[in-house]
Amino acid sequence: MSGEGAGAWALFAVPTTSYTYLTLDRKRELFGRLMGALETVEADLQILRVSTTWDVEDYVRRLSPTVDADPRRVTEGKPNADGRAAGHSGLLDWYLHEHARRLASLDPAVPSVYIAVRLAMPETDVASFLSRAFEAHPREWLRALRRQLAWGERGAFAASQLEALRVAADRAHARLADFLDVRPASGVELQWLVRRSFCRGLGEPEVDGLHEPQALVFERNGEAVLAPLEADVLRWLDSYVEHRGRSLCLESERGTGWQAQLVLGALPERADFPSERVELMSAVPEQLPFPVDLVLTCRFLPNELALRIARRRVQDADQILRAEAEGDQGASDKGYERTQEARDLVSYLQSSSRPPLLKATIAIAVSGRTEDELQRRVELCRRAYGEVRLHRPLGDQLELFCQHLPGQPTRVRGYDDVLTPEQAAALMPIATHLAGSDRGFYLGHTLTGSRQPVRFNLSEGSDRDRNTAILSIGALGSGKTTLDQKLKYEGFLQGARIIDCDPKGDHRFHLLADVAPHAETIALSPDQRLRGLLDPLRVAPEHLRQDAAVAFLLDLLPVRREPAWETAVIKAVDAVHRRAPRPTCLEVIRALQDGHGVDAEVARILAVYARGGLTQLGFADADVKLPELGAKQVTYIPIRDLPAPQPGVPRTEYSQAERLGEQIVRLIAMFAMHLLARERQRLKLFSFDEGWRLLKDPIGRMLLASLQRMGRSELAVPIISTQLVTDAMTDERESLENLVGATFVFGMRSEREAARALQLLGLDPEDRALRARLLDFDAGRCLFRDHNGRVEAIQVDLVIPDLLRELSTTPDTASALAGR
Amino acid sequence: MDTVESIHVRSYRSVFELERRLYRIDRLRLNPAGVPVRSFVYLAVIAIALATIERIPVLGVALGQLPWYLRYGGLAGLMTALLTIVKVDGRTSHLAALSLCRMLLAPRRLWQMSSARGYGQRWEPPDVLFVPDGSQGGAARLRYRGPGAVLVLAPHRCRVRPQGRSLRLLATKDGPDRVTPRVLAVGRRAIVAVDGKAETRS
Repeated sequence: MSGEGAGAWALFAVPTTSYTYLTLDRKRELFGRLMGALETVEADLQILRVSTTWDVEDYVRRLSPTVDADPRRVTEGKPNADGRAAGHSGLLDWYLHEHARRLASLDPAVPSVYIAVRLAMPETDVASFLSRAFEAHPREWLRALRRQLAWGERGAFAASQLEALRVAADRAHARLADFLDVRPASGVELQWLVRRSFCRGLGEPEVDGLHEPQALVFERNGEAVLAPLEADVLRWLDSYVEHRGRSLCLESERGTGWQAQLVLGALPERADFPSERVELMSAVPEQLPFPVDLVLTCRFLPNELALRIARRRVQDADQILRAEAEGDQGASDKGYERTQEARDLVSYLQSSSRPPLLKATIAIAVSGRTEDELQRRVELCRRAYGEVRLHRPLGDQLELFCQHLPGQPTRVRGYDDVLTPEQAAALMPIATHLAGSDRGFYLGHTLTGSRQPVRFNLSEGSDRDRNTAILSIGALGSGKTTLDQKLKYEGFLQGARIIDCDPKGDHRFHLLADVAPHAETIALSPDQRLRGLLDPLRVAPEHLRQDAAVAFLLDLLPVRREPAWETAVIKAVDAVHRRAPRPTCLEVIRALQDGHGVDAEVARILAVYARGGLTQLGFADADVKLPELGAKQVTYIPIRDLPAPQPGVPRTEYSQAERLGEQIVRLIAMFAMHLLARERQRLKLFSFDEGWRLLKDPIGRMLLASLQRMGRSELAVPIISTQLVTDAMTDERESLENLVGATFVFGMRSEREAARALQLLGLDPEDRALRARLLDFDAGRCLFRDHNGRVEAIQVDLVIPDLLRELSTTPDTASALAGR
Repeated sequence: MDTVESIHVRSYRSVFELERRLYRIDRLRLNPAGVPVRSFVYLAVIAIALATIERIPVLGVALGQLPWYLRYGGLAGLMTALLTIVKVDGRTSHLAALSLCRMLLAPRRLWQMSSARGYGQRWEPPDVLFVPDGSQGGAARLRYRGPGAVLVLAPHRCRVRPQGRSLRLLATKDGPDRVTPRVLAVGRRAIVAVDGKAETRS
């Protein structure tokens, strides 16, 4: 960029980062990187934090191939049965339409951050200027003089000048890139930044990326000269601005809007980082329920110059102190402190890192559709900033408006403050509340004033080659089952194959009017018709089949069994697995029955289990054909009253019934995997409530790992919900981290559980504020860690009240629905 | 879990926010808390302004009613004290006043960030003047009132009106393709008319 007076600037885009739930170490690291970037760039700079309107139309367009880009044109109301008959596209359109309506009401915006670096040397005092001039070659003096005298050719660049600018821009890029993940901004972004300034609060300008400002190229004295056409850039400013003293009225391409430009007053004298008191460019704007733009413009004072200024200030402070002392009232506390602080500043500047100082101004642009709305927003802004005063300078609104354009120095006087790099870095302009997926359905919004939408893509794990499993933890009624059902519903709309295992029997997803025609229920009961349905030698993954069968059969035997019994079972399973054309556990019993002594004794005991109770589901008869299952899109497997051990009880102390319960859980998981494995290319969801039963069990975790592997390659997504965070889960957090992709932690009921949940998320379990927050979370509010490890507090939003009522597992709603 | 302490961030604002004050002038003790140096500048500017206003017809008469010591002592001192104490939008009075002046002097309505004086008014293009250059098939009809000159390049016949103040040039297809260029001087109020319709000599 090149602007008159301000010289040339280079503009870089900086990715924002999720910040609030970072550990102290990570926050400090981020602080260090920002500080490093500010120190090493050694140039005047400008940090722009602008709010981008969340594109609702794009959200709808990308998720629905059948929906017109304009969500208003989506069919109003829920589609009827005829509309649903041809797949779920009608239902999906309706669902997206409801989402679009909800998102439009949120009026969401997400921040983007840009850094503009001035390519000229920072301005210095006379002494530095003369020193530099003497160091330069006389030819340089002539060149500089010629540049200054060439008034009519300010906008033209010789090829050599352009090359010099490019080299300077590359140098600035390299310096910033050492600390921040920056990239040069494109011409389209620059155009967007300029044009959006005129329609703040009204929407985004239509930037199609086709307009590229042109330049005339001609030759002068044998050198190519480029003269950019100003008119091309002026097209970006094609708006009418009316300066009204303390506000601006703008007629832009998106309509008429109002803007007020505010400037931050004195920053806190002393504060600790991290804290919201110093993170003024992120913490406060994120609290506001409307978008604001911020700009930090800094004039770089190199250490040498800063030190000279500081020394002069020491003399000034001493002189003032002396003058005060000679007065009637003597030296004031402030005067005395000032002398100390001036000396502290000199010491600071003489420290080994030789830090620079930054003469900076922070400006805020607030916008509104009407003057009244603008006034309200300005007041809210002032209240949010609390101890830091916000000024709304009379007569400088236009100058401040221009200060928000990229590549602009400070344009108003009286508000600049000399900041240390620590102070500037602590403003944390790149921090935001970023979580979730780039695509996928709207999941909910962040628990901030700005309520940024969070999206969730069920197949993100597969797409990005990360863990696919989704874990949701929370106390009863905290919202985890509702989340589970929301995800399943969205998977259903996308055509996913869904297996819903429900140990509590309170899921309502399969009963939804839209889902019921596509759902089948397999009620696991001691029913002879289902005998063998869960036979491990049939349903377990191939590589686990033998181990699963052995574990299942051994758990049926008494705890105080003889070692020879185990040998007999292992031997029989191995023989059947290798020889039988269609191995089953019943075949294992038959193989044992063929033996003598111990084998026969074991066969006799196992035969009892094979004939009755839930355990008969694990003994398939090779000659008996089971009913065709798993043909429908949704398979609901309720397993009520399955005996379960108390959490924390060692496995050796399990009762026989509890061990059997555990075995059945494993078999169900294997059965689900067996069903899911049929369609490789289709998205598959395996929902398992009371997931702690799987997670605490080594074989359960092994199964999950197997599902995980399957998930990455075959689009299978396990959704594990649990209300308990067991010690085993936290003790083996690392192994669990290898299993789980995204984690949702809902409200907890005890400090201990909350601490464990925090530990599971990789947060500090000793953090009282976080624990208290988890205890305060009510329905639908949770801490969400996405597939990238970013943690954010969100409100899961079901959007459609009817759907929420129908999926609710709370007794009142459920009974009301039952009675309906 | 975290092994680091929080970072203490401090500001050196007070070091840079110095205000020079005078506590005495020679042996004359001033205000115990001192008087900011800028107050003396304010006083000087106000005194000059009052002296200027005194010479303005109507205002000067009103101001002239006050005795000189009240004008230059009381009024100027009061205004100086006021300007020194008051902070407008968090800035000193002179900075705020400068901003205000700049706003008053600059255009209030901008288009493309430049003055939009003509914005919103209807623009009507001036009458379009067509000057035939002879490249078309025939001569265009025109009527020209002097003074001036007419360059004749095409074959033509002349007809002079009896009054002698009007010359009519009639385009003709007969004759050579090109003729020697001829300049006709047209006197004040004399009229040259060109008839574009080609005429065949009989």
